[in-house]
Amino acid sequence: MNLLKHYGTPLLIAFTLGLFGLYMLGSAVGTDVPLQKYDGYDFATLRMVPIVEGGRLKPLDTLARTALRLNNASEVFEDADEKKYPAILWLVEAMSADAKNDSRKSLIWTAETFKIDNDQLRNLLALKGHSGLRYSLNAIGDKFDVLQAETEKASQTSKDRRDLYQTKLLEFAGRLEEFSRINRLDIRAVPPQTPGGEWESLADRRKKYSTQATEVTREKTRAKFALDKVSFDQLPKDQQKEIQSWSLHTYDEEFERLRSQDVQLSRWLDLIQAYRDKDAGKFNQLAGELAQNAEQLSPEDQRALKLEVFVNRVAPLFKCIVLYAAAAVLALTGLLLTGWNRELSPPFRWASFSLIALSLALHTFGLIARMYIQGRPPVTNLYSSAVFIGWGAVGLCMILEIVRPLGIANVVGASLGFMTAIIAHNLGSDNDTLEMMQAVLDTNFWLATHVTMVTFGYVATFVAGFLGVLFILLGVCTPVLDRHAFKALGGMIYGTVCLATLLSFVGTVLGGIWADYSWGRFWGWDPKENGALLIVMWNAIVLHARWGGLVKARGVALLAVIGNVVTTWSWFGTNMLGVGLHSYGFSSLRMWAIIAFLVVMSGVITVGLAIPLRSWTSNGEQFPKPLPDRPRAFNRNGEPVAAS
Amino acid sequence: MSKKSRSAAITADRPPPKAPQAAPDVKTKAAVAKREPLLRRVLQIAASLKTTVVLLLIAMGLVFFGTLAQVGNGVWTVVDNYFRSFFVWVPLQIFFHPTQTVGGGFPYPGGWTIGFLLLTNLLTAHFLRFKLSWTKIGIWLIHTGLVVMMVGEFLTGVAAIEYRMIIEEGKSSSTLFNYRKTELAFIDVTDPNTDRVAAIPSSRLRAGRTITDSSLPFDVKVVAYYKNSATRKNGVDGSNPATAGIGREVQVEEIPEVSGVEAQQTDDMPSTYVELFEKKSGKSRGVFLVSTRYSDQLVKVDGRSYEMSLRHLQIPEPYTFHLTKFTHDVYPGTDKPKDYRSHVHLVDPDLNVDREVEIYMNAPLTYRGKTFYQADILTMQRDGKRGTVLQVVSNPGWFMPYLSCGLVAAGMLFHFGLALTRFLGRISREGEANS
Repeated sequence: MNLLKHYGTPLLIAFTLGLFGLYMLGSAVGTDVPLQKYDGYDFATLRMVPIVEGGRLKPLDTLARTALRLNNASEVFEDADEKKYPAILWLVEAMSADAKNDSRKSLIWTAETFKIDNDQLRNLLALKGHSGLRYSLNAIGDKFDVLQAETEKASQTSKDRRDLYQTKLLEFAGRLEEFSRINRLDIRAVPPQTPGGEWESLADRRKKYSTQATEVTREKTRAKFALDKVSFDQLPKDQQKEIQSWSLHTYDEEFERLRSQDVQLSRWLDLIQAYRDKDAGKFNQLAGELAQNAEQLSPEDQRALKLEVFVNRVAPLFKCIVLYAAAAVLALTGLLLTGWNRELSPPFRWASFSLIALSLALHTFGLIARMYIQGRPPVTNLYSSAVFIGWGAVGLCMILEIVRPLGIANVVGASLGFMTAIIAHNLGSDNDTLEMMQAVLDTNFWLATHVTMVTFGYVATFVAGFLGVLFILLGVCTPVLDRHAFKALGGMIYGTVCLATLLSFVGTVLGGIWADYSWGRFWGWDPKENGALLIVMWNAIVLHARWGGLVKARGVALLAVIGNVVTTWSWFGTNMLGVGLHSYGFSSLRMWAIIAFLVVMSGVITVGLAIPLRSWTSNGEQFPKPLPDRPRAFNRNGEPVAAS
Repeated sequence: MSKKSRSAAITADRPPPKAPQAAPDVKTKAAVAKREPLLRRVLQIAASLKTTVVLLLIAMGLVFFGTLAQVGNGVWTVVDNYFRSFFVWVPLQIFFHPTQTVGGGFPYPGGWTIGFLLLTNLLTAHFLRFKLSWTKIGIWLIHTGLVVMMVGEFLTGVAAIEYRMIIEEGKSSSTLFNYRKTELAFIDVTDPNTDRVAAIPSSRLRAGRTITDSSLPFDVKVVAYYKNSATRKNGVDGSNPATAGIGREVQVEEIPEVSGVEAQQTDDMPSTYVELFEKKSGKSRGVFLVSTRYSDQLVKVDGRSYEMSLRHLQIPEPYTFHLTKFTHDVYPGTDKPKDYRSHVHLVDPDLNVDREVEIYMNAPLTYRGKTFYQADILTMQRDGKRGTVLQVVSNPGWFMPYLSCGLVAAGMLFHFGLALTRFLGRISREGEANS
């Protein structure tokens, strides 16, 4: 016990940081799924190949991961024996999939990589529900006609009148389209011939040669068989056959001749052929040549490309989920221990604080890497807003913990970090999270000032709200809120609400100035603006209610919890108004998550409101056993005085 | 622990009770308050923080309802009904999905009422409660800023006008369109040298109403007016009100306004059915369809020819914009716009202005008190030619939000900074006490 008392804190810190440091390091040094295993194919080089998509330069790796994630809801996939494969392999498989030559035994046909979670859609495709709800191309392949007919019908219904089945059906058709796009090589992988030119799609190039070859073949066939004089239909059957096989052969030759002059396209087609032929040596040579396309890019672009592959592999923002979850558990343990044995609490508190610092470092790396790759301020879409809100909340809570070392801000910071990381992970599941911006949003200045400031406003409001949640739960259920903690936490909530008012007001007004600057209208009363205004007004209400003596510490905490609801409305609710709640139905994960959050918040508010302060387990009165590391006595203003 | 000490501990959190000798003083104050004149009591309520909180809550309600209402209505309808009005009837429908029909509603104070009350609350509070002391500078700044903002929004509401200028590439324009206002125009084109215009604003086009204009030889009876309309897909049927003009060949039906939450904000296309009666004989000339969707129609009465059209309000300007070039870039491989840019030759003979200007996203042109913003791209249906859509705004109160923002931000920084300094001072004192 003595050992624990003296060395408990450094030991637990060292253990925690060591454990999770290894977890982080492991992925930075190694790879997510070992790439070398696959019969000597050099996928590690192939994934560095630069392409242009969605208006931005990116490595092939990102396309592979986005496309697989879209279909499989994961960046790795498994074969029938549950062996794991990386996304880049799926991409190459998808490129080389061929219904004619293949006997449908290759990985792309047999691996279950298409997730179908709608039961009616499964019925349509005659699929049985099984765990994971993922299906192989072989299982879906025979129903393409039915699928196409149904899709056609559904797409004729206007967007806001589609039911859940139709929405899901079209979603699924879109995902299959992404697969088929890769299969027909509609990928802009041909670098521009002249600087500043456009990247060309492989499919376009192939189509061009195919058209040319068809043209030449037609001419040649005409000339050779004198088809100007006799009609093809009037010829005898065997001669018709001869002409057909001759022209097919000529077409193949002609197409080969044309495309072999095109170095870029040839490399890709040969690479796919080498993969089909299981010729790893040739595959690797071609992959190396394609990766050299990056050399004509600017040094910044090359660096960004390498960084993106690295970030894709390390997935820092995904790892934050685990780190923050662990930190939250440690922090909560430490906090609850204060009510039982105060001497055991500091090791956990400090271990959790260190782990939060470590996670924040990783989080910051992920955030800055995104900014570097995109060349943009941190918040550009809903996904990045979740990442940024988490980052800001954790940072703010670390500051609060330093100012008021109660262990409470640790819990709030780690749980907000965890929750926003989960939200970001789910928001980023269906597209490239580094998408480009609409013209009017294409301004770094306003993105950096207005959007960042408004998002900081969300951060402060959420932090205040979650401190409020802890205030109520700790007070009602635990003996943690002694006089010192009660007062300090109350002050923390109040201070954070002040900060939230400042940030959300300035952020909202900056938005108005941007709008005035962009289209001459300072305030347009549109849903998103109104959402921001509601946050400002709510924070103002909390402050005025306190100044007017209408509420005290408990009241401020309760009002701050309502602030969570207001902010959630502004963050998500206003976006959902636009897409129409109807077509999303109440089945989407997002909808349920929001409803669950609202229910929990209402529960907390009800508890805090219904149980009078004097019945709380701890409510700011003197804790029975004063702590040695806290002042023993307070004057009647509640201010601590030196122990006598 | 006994119950008594528990409650004693709770009160310890509150400010210390007044010293016993002060108690009678408090009592007399309360007694005096009861006898105070009604006006003073009303003023106290008007100035109280409770009133502030209640008003802010009501305001939040309005903003929330005004957001929900935009699912079913256009943003400008909502702004006029909710935010720039004294009272609003909030239909229960806004809480339900548009496919469900729900009747009923409730009255609610509109933006102007709430704004006025908040302003009163703020001003009386400053007169009655606030003292001028340097620690309160922050509050004074914030509140002055808020007054400026409210006045600014009021000014914008009553005085700001938004127009649009549409120019095809290679062509010129000196006309501004007000897309939020429509008029039924009759242009007397009998004399080829002068056009005489009689225009009826759309606000007067209510079904059943007959409009008489002294310059017109006929009366206009409004059969129907649709704020937004679409051409009937199934063609003309028995329900067609029109008996003359193009209305015999095409029929329009009313459709909902362009919803405020729609990502792609397009314009409403109003239409009206009007019946013309000759003033002299009282004879009907038939029911005409007049729509922004269709071109002018010629009507001949008493030997005079009138071009009849439903058009957006037009304002002629003394200068000309010639669109020499319009560029529109997208991100490679997508149709996401990256940049719109109008190269304009601006000619103003009055002021001897003759120069080239470029207007693009986030880089507007201010000229003669109006500001021109790059708003949209125009693609002609007939020949695929491109053009530009410029948003033109004249707002005499444009600077007020800037002023207000500066005041409030400075005030908040000062006030919260002061509180933070005090707090940090207390922390360091606590730290000393602990060690």
